[in-house]
Parts: sequence; structure tokens; C-alpha cells
Amino acid sequence: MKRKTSKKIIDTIKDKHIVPDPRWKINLRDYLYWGILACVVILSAAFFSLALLNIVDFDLELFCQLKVGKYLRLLIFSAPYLWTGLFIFCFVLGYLIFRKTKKGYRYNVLFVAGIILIIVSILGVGTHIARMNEKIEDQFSQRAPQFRKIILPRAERLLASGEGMIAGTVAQKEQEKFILETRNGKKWTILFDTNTKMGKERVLKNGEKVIVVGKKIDKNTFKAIGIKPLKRRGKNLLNKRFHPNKHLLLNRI
Amino acid sequence: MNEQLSKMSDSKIVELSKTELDIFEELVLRYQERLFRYIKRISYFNNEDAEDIIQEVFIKAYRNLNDYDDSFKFSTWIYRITRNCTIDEIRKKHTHPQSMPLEDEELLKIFKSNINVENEIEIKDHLEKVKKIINDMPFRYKEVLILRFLEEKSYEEMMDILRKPKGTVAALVNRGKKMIAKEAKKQGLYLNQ
Repeated sequence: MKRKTSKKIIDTIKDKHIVPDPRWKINLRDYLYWGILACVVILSAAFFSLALLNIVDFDLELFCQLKVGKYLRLLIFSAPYLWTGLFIFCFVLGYLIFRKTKKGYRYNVLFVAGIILIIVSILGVGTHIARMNEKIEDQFSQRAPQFRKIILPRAERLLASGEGMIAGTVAQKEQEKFILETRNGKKWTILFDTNTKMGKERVLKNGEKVIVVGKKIDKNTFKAIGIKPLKRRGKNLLNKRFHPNKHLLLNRI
Repeated sequence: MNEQLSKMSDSKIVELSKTELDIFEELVLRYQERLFRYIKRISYFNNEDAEDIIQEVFIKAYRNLNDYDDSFKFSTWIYRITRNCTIDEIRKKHTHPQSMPLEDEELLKIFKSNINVENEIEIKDHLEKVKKIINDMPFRYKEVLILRFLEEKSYEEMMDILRKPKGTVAALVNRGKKMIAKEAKKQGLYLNQ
């Protein structure tokens, strides 16, 4: 009986002219998984660097001058939800694809997640250092202006007067106040005094790009608690090219 | 020639089978009975269906001979194919193996592997209860217990057959064991552990 079954199997293979598939054909699916995994990791790193860009843009020194409640509100208001969400999605997808590779099942969750996270972090930080994330952000912002609020939360943060933060160019400086022009063209009167934290022997200059934290007093007046020059990365956000959908921004003020 | 073949390792036969189909019969002869039993253990299929699955398994194995990696045992590789074919067949028939037709001896073997039995006669008297405890277990636990205690596979082999991390396999075995112990206690069969 044993011999009969085995004979039947061999005869079927012969009758159907079945031959072993070539190695490349068998491995094709595995190569495909590795290819998709590489793409997903690159995407994940790009999203990671975009989230990172928005997070490091938080000026901690300046933010510390805000009350905890306001600080948290500003943090929640302008956190990079889209990029963080996409990063997590790609990260999980990467893990699932790795598990589908030939020997992927052999490794435990923590090991695989750890390796992917390390690769994504290295690539993401590299992208950030090379400032490629700013270019990507710029492209997204220009191509989808209607989604600017979620694409570019760090730019939104610079117009969050209600939350205690505003940024723009010093237009006209006087004794204890100056006019600040925001990127949407709105002019604010900023009041400051000797208690305002500006750094040692700091003198404001006309045309300087600054970020101000404090309290909105009325429609056009803002009382400053702290004033700092904008970081190099933040300066770009004040450029006109970053507000193609001006009415959207004006609605926020 | 046959005598020569019977002394050869599985991986050597795999290599030779790639160019000479008749040599592949040696592998079929070596594994068909074990795999037949395994199919019967993890499914409700009758002998005829199980034989069809065996045929499909070896055809698939022959077609994928180049996929065989000799860092694994051949038995692990062929068990994996068998498991996949059996599960595919179960899905095709749209039914789930709720009750696995395990022999009384097999049921007792699984049971005794998990419980420290002092009085074997008493356990044999309660065979129906033992059968119910094991048959009522979810498929994934029953499957690992069959591989571990009836097929006598190591965790490493089980990991490659089930395509699950070793930790997950060990956790499934442990949970399965605990499930049996808990149920045995409930049914008054928990003698000593």
C-alpha cells in the first residue's frame, strides 16, 4: 500500500510534467517583500524626520516662560499629528512585511521593531541634518495648501496669538513697544518692558524676525513675556511662499 | 540502489531528486505515513481525503525543491507544507476541525504529558472526560500540543512549521498545558502536579 501511494505520486508528477521551479521564481515573492520593506522604511524615515522637524522647532527655553496649561495647549494645538500618524502606520506596516519574509517569523516583536526603529531613526535624523525634510514639507505645503494646517503645524504655531505665541518681522521699534508684522500681513503692537525676557543686552532691530510669547490683550495688541530671534529653520516659515491660502490663516487670528 | 538510497540523508536525496525524479520516491516512502497520521490528527478528514492531501503535499514539495534550505531539517519543511495544505483544504471545505479524531492512546499521551498522573487506571476510567477536555480546546492550542507531544517536535522545529516566533510557540504550549490542568481540576481529574 505504502509503495502504491508513492508510485502514484511519482506517476502524477511525471504525467503532469512537473519540474522543480527555478530558485529565482521561488524567491521572487521574498525579493518583492524586501523591496516593499525598503520603500516603507524610507517613507517611515521621511515621516519621522517631518515629525522631528516640528518637534525640535519647539523652543523649550521660550516655551518655559508660558504657564503649564498654556504650554500644554500649544503643544496639543500644534503637535505633528499627521506625520506622527503616518510614521507609526509605516512602522507597523514595515514590521508586518518583515514578518512575511522567508525567515522573518523567527524573530520576536521587540527585536524586529527595535531594528526597524534604529534604521528609521538613523535615516530620519540624517534627513533632518541634511535639511531634506524642510524641502519635503515645502513641497507638501505648496501642493496641498488646503491641508496646510495639518501638514505644517509649526507654521500654525507662529500665528497662535490666542494660545500665547506669535512670530513675525519687527517693523517699527519704539521705546517699550514695537510693531510686528506676521506672515499673513497682520500688524501687531507688541508691548514689552524690563521684565520681558530677551536675553542679555539684547537690542531689537527693525527687520529682525522674532518669536514672541505672552498674552493677547486685544485684537491687535500683545503683551510680551519673552522675545527671541527665530531660529534659522523657523525663518523660512515667515516667507510669503508658505501662505498660499491666506484667508485660511486670517480666520485663525 | 535502493539500499544506497535508504542510507542517504534527506538533504542529499533532495539534491539528487532535482535531476532524477525517481529518487524522490524515497522521500515519499520515508514520510508519507508520518504525514498521513499528522493530517488525520489535525483535521477531521477521512483516509481518502488525507491521501489526496498527501499527494498534493509531495507534488508541491517537488515543485518547490529549490526552496528547501538545508539549514532546516527536511522533516520540518515537509511538515510545514503538510500543515499549509491541510489548513487550505479545511478552508476550502468551509469547516473548522472542532473535534479531532485522536486515538484514545494519543489523547492519554497528551493528557499525561501535561498532568502528573498518580493513578493511571483512574485516568483510563475517565477517558471520556479526557477526550472532552482535549477536544474542547481551541485549535491553535491543540495543534501545538499535537506537534509537541505526539509528533515529538522541538520548539525550534515547531517554530519553523508554524512560522511563529519561538516565544509564541512556547507560550501556546504553556497556555495549552494550563488549560488542560485547569479543566482536569474542574472535572476532578487533577491528581497531582
